[in-house]
Amino acid sequence: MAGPVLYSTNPWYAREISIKYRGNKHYVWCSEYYDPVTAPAGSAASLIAPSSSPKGIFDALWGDCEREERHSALIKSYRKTFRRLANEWLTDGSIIQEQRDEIVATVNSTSWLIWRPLLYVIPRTPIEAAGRLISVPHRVRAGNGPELQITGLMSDEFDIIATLLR
Amino acid sequence: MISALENFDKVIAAGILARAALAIEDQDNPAGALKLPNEASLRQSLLAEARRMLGVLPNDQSPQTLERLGEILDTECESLIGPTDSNLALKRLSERGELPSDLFEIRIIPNIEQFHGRKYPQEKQLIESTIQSPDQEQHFGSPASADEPFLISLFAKHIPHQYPLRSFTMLVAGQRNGLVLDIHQAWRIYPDIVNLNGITNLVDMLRRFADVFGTEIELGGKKGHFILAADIPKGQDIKTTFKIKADVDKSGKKSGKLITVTCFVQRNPIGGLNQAALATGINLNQYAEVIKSRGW
Repeated sequence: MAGPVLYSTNPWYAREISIKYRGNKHYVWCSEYYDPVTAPAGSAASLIAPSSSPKGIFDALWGDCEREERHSALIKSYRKTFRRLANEWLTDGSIIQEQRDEIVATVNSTSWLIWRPLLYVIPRTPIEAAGRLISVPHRVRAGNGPELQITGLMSDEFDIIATLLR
Repeated sequence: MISALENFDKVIAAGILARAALAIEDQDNPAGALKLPNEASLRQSLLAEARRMLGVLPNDQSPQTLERLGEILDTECESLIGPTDSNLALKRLSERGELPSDLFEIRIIPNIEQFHGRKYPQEKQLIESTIQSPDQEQHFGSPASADEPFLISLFAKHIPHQYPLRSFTMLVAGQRNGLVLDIHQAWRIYPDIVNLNGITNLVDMLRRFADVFGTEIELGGKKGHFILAADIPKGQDIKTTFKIKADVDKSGKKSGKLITVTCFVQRNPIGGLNQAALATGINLNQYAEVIKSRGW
């Protein structure tokens, strides 16, 4: 159920990039509901698509890493996004060629460790009070349930829950 | 190059393509936002051109089509940026101690295989699993000070067992050489034998282990069960530099303990001397006795 915290699942490497190359600023999609599947039928939470559920993403990513699923759609999509971001940051001058190459080489590598999921637990009040909580427009949501975004989230504004791989 | 971008500088064109690709995937991603005055119309033109290249209708918004459009933009963008030397980039990460540990090629020194004998395959598997998915890791980067080791990594992983006394932490230490990790030390740490309370890092864990299983060694003027880093005097061989305190019984006879002295020998660019790091002298008889009693 919705409460004082927000949940966001991200691969370990997303955090690494934010810390190493983006001045500790994280861009996250998040939800008031950790597991929308358990929400009462007809509630807003029950309309959140599985691809936007923090628990759904966590389970899928963890399972893909644990089973070393080479065809993981989720990992493929993260890989593509990080490559594009690295290219964009190189062209806007916020990273140098060596850093861009390190990001691209890492996401293209065979590492599974970099994709292990981290659950960010974000206290909602300070973010909302500062007007930094963005409601994602319906046209870009995966389902009809509420989806949220935060840009410029700093590392000390959330806690992390991680599960170790085998 | 996509004709809509022909008149642009390569870097600017690559940026336009990267942002367009990000926006296809997530319209609200701030990294995909328009930055140039005429970028909206430019983006429309290059998407239209990409659609023509794919042979899809202008209103086709199916996920498959969007994915293929994104791939065209990515290919164009990366051809403008140039090829990535992945090997070099990964080696740089390794040098800084930032390479994901499951990317290392693992080489284990023969002494470890000799010690474990027919049980070696199981130990090797434990060592590899510890490196590939560690619970904790600690890395020393490029030489920063004369008193610290460099290019050395330590990994630890809890190995649970249904019988609690057989549960242990596997502690592995290796030296990074490019994308290769040379493993020199791998020890099972049983928490009822080695007190791990209050340790802050894996070097502390190794030190505590050496306090229990180690014998006193002397190296480069430093003495102890564990020496983090010590310079080896110029012209001296590491084998002749070590001094081990011989254990003798009351009658003056040597105890017959099998001591293995392990350390990483490196040439330190700071000062130019050879350096021995993470040096220990472990009593292998005592260690073997413990692991045999714990279902090794």
